Amino acid sequence: MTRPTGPTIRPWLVALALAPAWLGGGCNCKDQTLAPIVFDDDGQTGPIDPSRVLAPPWQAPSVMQLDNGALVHWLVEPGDPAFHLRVLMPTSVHADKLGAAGTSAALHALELRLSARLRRIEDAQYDLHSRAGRVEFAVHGRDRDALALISAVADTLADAGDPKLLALAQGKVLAKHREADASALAAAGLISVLLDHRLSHEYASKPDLVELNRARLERSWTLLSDPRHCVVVVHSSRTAEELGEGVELLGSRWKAGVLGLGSGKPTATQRLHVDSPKKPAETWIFGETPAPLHVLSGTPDRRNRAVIMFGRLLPTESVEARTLARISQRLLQEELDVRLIVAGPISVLAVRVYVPAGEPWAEVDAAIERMQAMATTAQPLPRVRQAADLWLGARMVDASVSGEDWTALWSESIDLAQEDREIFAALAREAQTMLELDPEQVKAFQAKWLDPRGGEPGWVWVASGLTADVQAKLALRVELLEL
Amino acid sequence: MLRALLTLAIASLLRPVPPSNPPPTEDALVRESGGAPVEASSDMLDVVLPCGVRVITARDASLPVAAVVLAVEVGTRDDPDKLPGLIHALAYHLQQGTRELGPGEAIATAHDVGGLAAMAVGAGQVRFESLIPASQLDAQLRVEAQRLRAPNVNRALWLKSLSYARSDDRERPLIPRELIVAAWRDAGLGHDGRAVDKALGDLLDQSVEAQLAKLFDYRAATLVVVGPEDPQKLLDRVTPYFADLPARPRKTIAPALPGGSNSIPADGPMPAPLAKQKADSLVWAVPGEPRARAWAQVLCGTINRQLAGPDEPAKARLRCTYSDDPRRPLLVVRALGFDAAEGPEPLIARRLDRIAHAEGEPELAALIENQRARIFADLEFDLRAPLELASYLAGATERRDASQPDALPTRSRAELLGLPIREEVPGLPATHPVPLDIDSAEALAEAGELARLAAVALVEAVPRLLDTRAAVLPIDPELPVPAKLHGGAPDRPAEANAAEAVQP
Repeated sequence: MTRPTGPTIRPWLVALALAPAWLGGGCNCKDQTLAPIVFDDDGQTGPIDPSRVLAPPWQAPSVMQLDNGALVHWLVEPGDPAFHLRVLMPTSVHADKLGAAGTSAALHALELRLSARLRRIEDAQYDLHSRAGRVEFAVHGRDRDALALISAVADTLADAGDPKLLALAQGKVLAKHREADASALAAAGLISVLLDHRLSHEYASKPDLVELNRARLERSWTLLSDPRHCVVVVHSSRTAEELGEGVELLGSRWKAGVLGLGSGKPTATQRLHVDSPKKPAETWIFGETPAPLHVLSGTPDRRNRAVIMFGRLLPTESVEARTLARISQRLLQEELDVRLIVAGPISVLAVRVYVPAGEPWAEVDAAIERMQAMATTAQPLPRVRQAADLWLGARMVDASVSGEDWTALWSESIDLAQEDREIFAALAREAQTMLELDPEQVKAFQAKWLDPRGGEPGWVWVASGLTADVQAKLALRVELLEL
Repeated sequence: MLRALLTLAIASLLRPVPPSNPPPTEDALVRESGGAPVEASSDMLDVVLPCGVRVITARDASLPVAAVVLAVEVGTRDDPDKLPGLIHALAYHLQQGTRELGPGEAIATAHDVGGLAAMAVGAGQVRFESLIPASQLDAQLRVEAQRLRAPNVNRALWLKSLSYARSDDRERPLIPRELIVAAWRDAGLGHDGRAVDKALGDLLDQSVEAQLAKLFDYRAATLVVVGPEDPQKLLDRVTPYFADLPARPRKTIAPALPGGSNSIPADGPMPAPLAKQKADSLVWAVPGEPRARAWAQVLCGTINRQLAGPDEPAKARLRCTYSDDPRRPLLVVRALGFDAAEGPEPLIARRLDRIAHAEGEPELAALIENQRARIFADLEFDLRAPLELASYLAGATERRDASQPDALPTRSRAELLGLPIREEVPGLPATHPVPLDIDSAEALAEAGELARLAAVALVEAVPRLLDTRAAVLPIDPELPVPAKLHGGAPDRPAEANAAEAVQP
């Protein structure tokens, strides 16, 4: 059974539902209703021309909550011969309990079980993605096999938490484990410092994997696959009503574990967006309150270079802020190795530089100088426009080449929206705003947020793969802190 | 006076030639649809512009992207004997710019807006493919409308083209080249066309220029555009880019048939001496057009699932493999457990004969209908994205009346893609993708009729593939040729051969 969106929430039903939910380990909330979502549409955003603003020509999805608490966003494209289903599982909800090692083992167990089931379905495929604060897996196949695909996912979410399977998956992950290179380790370290998480939440080391016992494996699976925190996105030629049997299966077979209570947060953005850290950094790279350089072990890269990664959180609560952050990253990317992960109200910006043994500060200084120079000079409009065209065009072309899967774009839209009602138009709004940006706006944004020595504080940095000699040289200029 | 005469002469040269291939008018579209606007989603436009280039436009509105494919009907089989690899190298050279495009601009036009640009060089077709955001379609159309005009030619660019060509991976065909040559009766298929030897490096600029002009001509090219707009609007965007080319008739494109003809040798199947071949297979050249390609796959699926006949050896089995190519596909049927003294042909011929007369064998007809529905659904699924659709459409058969002024520009999706369809029956379209659920005597009768129609359509679509005389028998030169060649081939009425001979 599914619950349609409705006008009211009846709190007394929540209280009544708690006892059986706790006992049964699931969410019995058939009589509850979700607050309706009125997606922003053309009336609020102005006419959207998909060819101009480069957004899919989708219609607002139907939204429902399953009996097990999972939220479903169902997109319909009449006549599409393909079917896509994506399950978005947040990892940030239980960041203190859920480590990267447990998540890796749980996801591998899911892959083992799901792949075996999908092999029996023609043209069925599985893929796994990691985004800020969540992991998501998707199955793709033919629309005529939609029921079989939904059933495979429901069965897998129901039984991949089997202890034997989890132990097998742990062994396989361990066997394939290779110590991460300096860049991967520095990236994990930077995110853990910025979001105030443990390093083990971002990076699965070999000892972490070895130490996973049965209880921790099961807990990882239970926390990760808890439907009360998950969001399911479907792209099909048929409506949820037409595939009611499949929706029913997903709601009944996939159950929550015994941990936790309630039916989860009521909206997708609340479930999936990363929370801001309680104590954001107030430091700069050098400057008036210099950030200590966090040092991680790790092996230098193939050219024997260590890595320093510096970055910050950007407040991206409005479409303008998200767009400015993205276009600034694209412009910087032309000269430096700069990445941006947008996760709703906050985004993570990271800059990677290599550390030559002879002059360890040379590249860091050069990168900072370049960023400061860009922050003080307005870029020519054609350059800004070309960066926008490239970013927006590549997103749609990539989506087309990847099988025209709207669920991936919807997942990205969730990151670009502040609230659920914005998801529907988020891509179009981003495109429209990006194409109308003024170079002066970009310059002002960069001066405020992307100047590691001036501008707003919030910069931190992490180094990995340093030799003792290089560490000694670095320590002459900044405070080093073991992470 | 002389000046006036010269002016007149130049004016007459510059005067537009009356178009032999007039562009389609909106009236024609309305006529085609019986007065109503053309249904964009299921119909496509297929026209020849006055300059001789063929344009196919189709709609795919799933995402705001557009696929543009320029396919030229020339391939590695056209390499001169002394210049193997020429077509491949020239195709690379067409990325080096023209009078209007800078070197590499064709690729950069797609890449700079987040798009993809690729090139495919096959035995009978060269394609320049791109997938771009729909908002950038005009820029890509300009590139394709300029690509073949006055290409830049100089020594440095030619050497660069050869260096790109040299770094390409060599092709490894699943079927030995000698066999492909024998099946297609075409010596030009004996090499992969990827060689870059000294002779190519020694070509003078004038020779490169002459070869480009001779081999890469818009009159032998098809431009396919698939985008979110309706086909007429897409065509309206294409037409101006070719308007300044002089009006010239389209080149006649020879149909891709073995030896250039559809005739079936009376003394086939022809043995093809080839080392290490066990003489257990027959190989057919499948006509290089979408309809034959689709039905060949239906036939292949049917052969692989067909039950043994009553008079066959107990362990007799057939294994069919289809090797796809837009212009030079092949069908290989391997026999197992056959009588060694007879060779594989009688067994294969008996099975094919049953398929050719499946109207009288309801279970076999049902199997054909099942395979037809399967291939139909496979093609619809595989061609759901614009780039795949555009590449496939580049292989679509040309209309014989394309250059006629009254030629109607619309063609149905099923026709242009060559989807395996049978005759319609009331209540069930010919494109019905799944076999019927049989839950009553009436449904059973209806299913029987559908199956019969599917069997008829198969025979009509690929008659050559049901006749073992049209195949070749690969056999090691050390082995004796089986004495009883084509002994079990079905009797064919003379008019059947005559009918095939006129098919494109």
